[in-house]
Amino acid sequence: MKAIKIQLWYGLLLLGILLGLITAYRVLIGTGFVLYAKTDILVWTMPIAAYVFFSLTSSGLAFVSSIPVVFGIKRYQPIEKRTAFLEIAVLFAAFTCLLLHLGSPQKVYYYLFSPNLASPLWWLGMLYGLYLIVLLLSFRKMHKAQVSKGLGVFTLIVAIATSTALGWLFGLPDARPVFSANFLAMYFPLTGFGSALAAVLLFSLAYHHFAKVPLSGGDRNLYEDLGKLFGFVMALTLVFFLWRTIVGGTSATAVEFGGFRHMLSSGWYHLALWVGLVIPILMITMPAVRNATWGKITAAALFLVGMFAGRLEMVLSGLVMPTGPKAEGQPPFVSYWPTIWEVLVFVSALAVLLFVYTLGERNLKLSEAPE
Amino acid sequence: MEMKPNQKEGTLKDFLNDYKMSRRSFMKRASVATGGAIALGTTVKPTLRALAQASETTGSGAGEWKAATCQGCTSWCSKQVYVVDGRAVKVRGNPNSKVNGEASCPRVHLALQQVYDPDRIKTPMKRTNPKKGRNEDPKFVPISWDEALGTIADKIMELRNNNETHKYMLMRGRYSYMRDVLYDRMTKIIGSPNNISHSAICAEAEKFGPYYTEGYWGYRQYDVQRARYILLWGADPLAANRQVSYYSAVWGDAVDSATIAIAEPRLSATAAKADEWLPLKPGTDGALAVAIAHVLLTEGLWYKEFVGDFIDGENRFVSGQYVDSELFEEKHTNGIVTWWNLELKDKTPEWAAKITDLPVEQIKRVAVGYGQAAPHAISWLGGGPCMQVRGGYASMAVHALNGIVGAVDNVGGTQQSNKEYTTKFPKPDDFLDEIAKAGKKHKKIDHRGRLEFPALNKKPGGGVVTNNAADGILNADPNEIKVAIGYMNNFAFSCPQPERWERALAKIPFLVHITTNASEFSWFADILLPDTHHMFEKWGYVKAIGNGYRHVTLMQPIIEPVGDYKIDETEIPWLIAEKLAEKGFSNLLDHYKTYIDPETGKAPTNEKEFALYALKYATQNLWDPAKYKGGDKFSGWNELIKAGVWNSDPYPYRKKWSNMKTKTKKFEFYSETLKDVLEKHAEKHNTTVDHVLEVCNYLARGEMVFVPHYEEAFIAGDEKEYPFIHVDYKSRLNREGRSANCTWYHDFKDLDPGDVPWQDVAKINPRDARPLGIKNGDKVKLTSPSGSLTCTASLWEGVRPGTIAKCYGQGHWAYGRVASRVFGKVPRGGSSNDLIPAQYDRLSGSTAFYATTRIKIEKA
Amino acid sequence: MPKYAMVIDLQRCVGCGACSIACRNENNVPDGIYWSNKITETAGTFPNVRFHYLPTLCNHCSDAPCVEGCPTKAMHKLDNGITMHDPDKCIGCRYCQYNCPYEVIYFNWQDPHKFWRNPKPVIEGGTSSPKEMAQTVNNGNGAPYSNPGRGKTLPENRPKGVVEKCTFCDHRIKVGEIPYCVEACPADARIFGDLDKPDSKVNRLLGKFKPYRLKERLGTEPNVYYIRSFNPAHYQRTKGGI
Repeated sequence: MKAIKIQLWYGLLLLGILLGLITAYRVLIGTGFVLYAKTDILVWTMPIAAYVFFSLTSSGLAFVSSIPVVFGIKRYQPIEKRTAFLEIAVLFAAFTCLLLHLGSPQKVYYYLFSPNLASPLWWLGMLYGLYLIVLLLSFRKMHKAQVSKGLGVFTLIVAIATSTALGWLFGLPDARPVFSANFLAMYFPLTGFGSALAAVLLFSLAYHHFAKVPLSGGDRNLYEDLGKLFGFVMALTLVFFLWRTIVGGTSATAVEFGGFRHMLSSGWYHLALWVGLVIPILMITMPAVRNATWGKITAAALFLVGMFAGRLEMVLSGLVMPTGPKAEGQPPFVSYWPTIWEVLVFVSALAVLLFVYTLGERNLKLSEAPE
Repeated sequence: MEMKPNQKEGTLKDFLNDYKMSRRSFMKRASVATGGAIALGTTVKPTLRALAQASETTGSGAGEWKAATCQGCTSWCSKQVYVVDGRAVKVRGNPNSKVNGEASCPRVHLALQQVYDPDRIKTPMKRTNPKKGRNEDPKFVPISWDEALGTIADKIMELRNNNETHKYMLMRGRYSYMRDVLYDRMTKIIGSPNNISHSAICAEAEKFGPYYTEGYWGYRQYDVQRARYILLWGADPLAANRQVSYYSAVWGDAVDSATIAIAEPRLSATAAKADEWLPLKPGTDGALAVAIAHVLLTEGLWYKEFVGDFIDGENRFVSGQYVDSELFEEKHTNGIVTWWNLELKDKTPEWAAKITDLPVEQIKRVAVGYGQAAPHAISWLGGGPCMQVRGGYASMAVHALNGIVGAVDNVGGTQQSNKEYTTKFPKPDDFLDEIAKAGKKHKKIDHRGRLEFPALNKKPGGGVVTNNAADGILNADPNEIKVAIGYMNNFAFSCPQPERWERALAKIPFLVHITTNASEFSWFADILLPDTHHMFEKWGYVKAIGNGYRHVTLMQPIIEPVGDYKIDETEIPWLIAEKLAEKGFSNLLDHYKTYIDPETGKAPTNEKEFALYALKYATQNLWDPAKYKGGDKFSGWNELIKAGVWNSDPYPYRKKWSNMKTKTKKFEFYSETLKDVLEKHAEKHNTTVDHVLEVCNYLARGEMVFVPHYEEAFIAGDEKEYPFIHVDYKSRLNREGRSANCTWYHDFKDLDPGDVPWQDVAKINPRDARPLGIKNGDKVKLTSPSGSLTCTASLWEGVRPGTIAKCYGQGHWAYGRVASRVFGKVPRGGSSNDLIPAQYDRLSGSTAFYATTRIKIEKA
Repeated sequence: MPKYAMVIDLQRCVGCGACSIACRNENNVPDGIYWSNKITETAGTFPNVRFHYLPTLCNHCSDAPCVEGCPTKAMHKLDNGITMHDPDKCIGCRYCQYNCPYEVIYFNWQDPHKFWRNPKPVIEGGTSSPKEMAQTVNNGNGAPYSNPGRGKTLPENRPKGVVEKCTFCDHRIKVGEIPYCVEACPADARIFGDLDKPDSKVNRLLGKFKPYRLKERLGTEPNVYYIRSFNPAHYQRTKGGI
């Protein structure tokens, strides 16, 4: 019975990956990127939003795993291995999104042959490459023995670099004053950390549920601890989120923040605010809910849904208001709704994540605390 | 399909190019030969290579710039085409032309998409569905030229054998001056009176005013670079007709040196750069013109050197007061005082303000500014004020302003055309047999010259009433039409109320269409013949004026044709003549054989030689040094075709003052010329001039008939049911309604102010749209008393409230995959002509397009 | 090394768009992509209303954000000041589009000139299919009127998955010709030249008029300058009133 379920699960995930491959074929070799709801106004859409979502979650997971490794808080050790493996699985999802976003992914080797050190995107690419190597390295170490503090610190630094560089990437361009690199360099790591906490809660508690491993007392304390930390990070995120709303929505010039102001009335924004922040924060502030497994799982899931919507809202904020010659004949704001193919990008990325994770869960004893 | 070797870089490539070219040409010729020429029993060596001109290697690859002519609009600019390996790659202005020079308007580039339009018909075709109608698929199938020509000749012979050659009809569309071969000579020799041109759907009323004031039936040149005031009337020279390239080139200077005012209900491309925009109510141009004339006279701003003055120098033109004509001594004009007494004395700016809905101050300001600039003050007559029911008088009124300020034939004013020296083709008279002579005596199918259609092109019935030919055919009045040929025309699209043409064409038992694309007209044809594209594939010439010069610019075959095309005006009539000769009637061929090559003295032996010899014949005075008469001088034919254009001598100013081709030789404010011709027309019909005017739907009676004056516009539709006046205009990318199958047309459609790419829009003022709940981008249905169309709403401040502006050019339901939404079935956008009822300015015969109908707008 | 710049005289400009259509032609730019473009505005309300037209193209910024952001140096500066793109190195990330404040970069979302691959004629046997027409005339190499000259420094037709934009017609400059939009402008509203030559035509105009550039405050140092006004209309002197 169990074997059938597992096979069904693998089948489902492989189907998701297959859909991703079909998308890759149709977009890269067949019809082209017209399958996405992209135009020369909306040059970046859901695949990039999904990429940001996954990559920041991955960086955030590195922050979580550094708690025991770098900061020596030993009671976090039971989740160290799962977190470290999740970092890798989530990063694969991020790469999947990126692959399906790039127009000519087959040419990324020019990163090495023709590097532009002035480009945030070059740095980001290199940092993510480095990040993957470091993650694989530290996971291998972890699997066999304790990760050295040195490697842990290095992983943390690279994770900080990637998440902040992404803020640099979005916030630098003069063309999109709606973004501020200063703000994003804080907001991205913070929200990545929040997403990571949610993911750890979700995956760990799911493990206990599906593996039918009852929670020990230590586990209970740990997850309660994590829940509180999660609540704190969510609250902090809400504060930043509201300040971004206030600054962009009320006190700035309409021309430069027009896109964001327009997005304030969008479903994505409200999904991010209410479903992603307000409701889970309220849930976590209630001890009865916080302490219940279902409460933590629900709050974590809602936060991740909201985060995803928030990433999309943010990407769109910089693009929905056409300017200059591309505004000719366009309405003041262009509307966006993902196409089925863009949804498939996300679906296949998620399938990759879960597939890699499931392989790890079943083969690598992720519940083990390192020696 | 022949294959080419792959492109290689550098010198190897150049080498291969040469190799390729010869190989490709050989293959092409071989295929043409098997396809058509051999079947016709002729072996023809294309003259193309022999005529290759000085090659110029540029950064654009190895190619040559070859002289050509653009007929995308009737500017008729001289161009050069960059030809690479027999393939047209780009187009530019021909620097040898003194009219347009290097300047090229935007629409010329679309010619490339026209010549390589995949939807061009590449072979003759015949209809296999005998039923004809808008909803009947003709089920065209390819046939050989031999079969097509044979069938056509059979049908013509049938008419001849039955002594009913007057039932043959030739419909002309866009032409070159090779036209008479097909339009005139062939129709006459077959024996029919029915050669019907498109001219009256073009701008005959625009020539009416100038003719009945200064005796000039033609478009004027405007000396904008030396003008101090340019007052435009429904003319949009930066976007449409004529000399768009030339005016675009100099406008930036004109806006410096002249005040520019434009009367037009829509903010046109030219209005965008104007000092004054006078968005008058459609159909009131005549009122504004006479009010300006009133101010010019009361303010003493007429140009005394031209018009003359009161004997004692005291201005007696006082509002409301009659003037004794004895007191005024006119110089080069006729009837200024009569005009004042009959029409102008009460036509104050206050009066005009009520009619035109313009501010009084603006009318005065423009009138005074215009007068102060005399004589360098242009009153620029476009089609807008005059292609209206009763538009003939507005045409006169607007042009008469040039007379008051002495701008006629003057520096910084308006000019007629310069002299040119092309010659007419040999006369056909000796080749008309008895059948032809009898046939030719019948009345024309368009009813010109009848009481209700004076069409006064210089004489009663001298002009064409194009759009009325549909009614002639439908009612078999004066007779039925059994065999008809149309070329480069599309009356089922280009004429107002085209549904009449659909029925008329369906009624013609045998209809041939010579065309590049299977158009709405083709839909009713029995035979389609693939036409050459004028700019790249045809021998011909046209004449145009501008910048104080006249040029004669040549068309030549300069590329490798893709399909089995033949030249409409020369090759096809020759081939038909050959077939007729085969069937026992050789007069036409015998006539064509008199078009001898002036260089060699040889008579043509096939259609290709004929096309070339006919052109050399007509232009001999331009290129033959022995026959030199003036303008550019050439050493011979080869030099002329290499240059591509002949330029006249510069315009001689003021030579026509008191030497005009009017009755009085003066500029006529009181038109003795019109009086004469109208009286002749009345006499012919045993009636009075007043009765003629009544029948023709004009309001003037008595002496008023002979002076420029304002007549209330005759607009169809009840104001309550149809609250908006329809404003028709032309796109700057229109190539006379033939560019809608070009993707560039749609991708750049917003070059027309207020328009939208890939849409056909009805432009409505936001304050009119709001109460109707109509928003930008809404699908809307426009309905007039005579038809309706569906298009997209565009809310735009540049439209006069109470009017809806809609561009002509889209709404094709055939023509091609881009022009139509579903080829042969569903139009893309809507054609303005579906809204406009078939109405006429009957004095000129013109079809009315502007201020002709009211419409309503609803969400579709 | 020259430093190329363009001056656009808005008074000469008649808003006809010949520049943009000619550019399509010269550079084999697919439909929907505008290397040469415009910003228009209908200002005012009836009857006090005018239409204004500002031609736009790549500004070839001296401090180009697109070049700075490009990870693989596909977008790069040439010594003569041209902002050039190398589609071979382009990974299609579209960060340059995201970075360009002037919205002049376009992405090839699909294979170029798709129109010319359609195998269906509208009248079987009587007309060509677009594919057949393109094949017969030009071996199916883009549009039938495809300009081979463009192929000297860029692929004649750029493939799917890379961006493209105006190159100041670098292929023409290379052989001593001015950009095609300049040549094709019927009004001579575009003047091209070398800023490093003190007496070049562009420098003469820049010294005579108050030039301005788009979004100068960003510090991108565009090399496309505008002078004079699209509508230099006269008006009646007034002090206004209350």
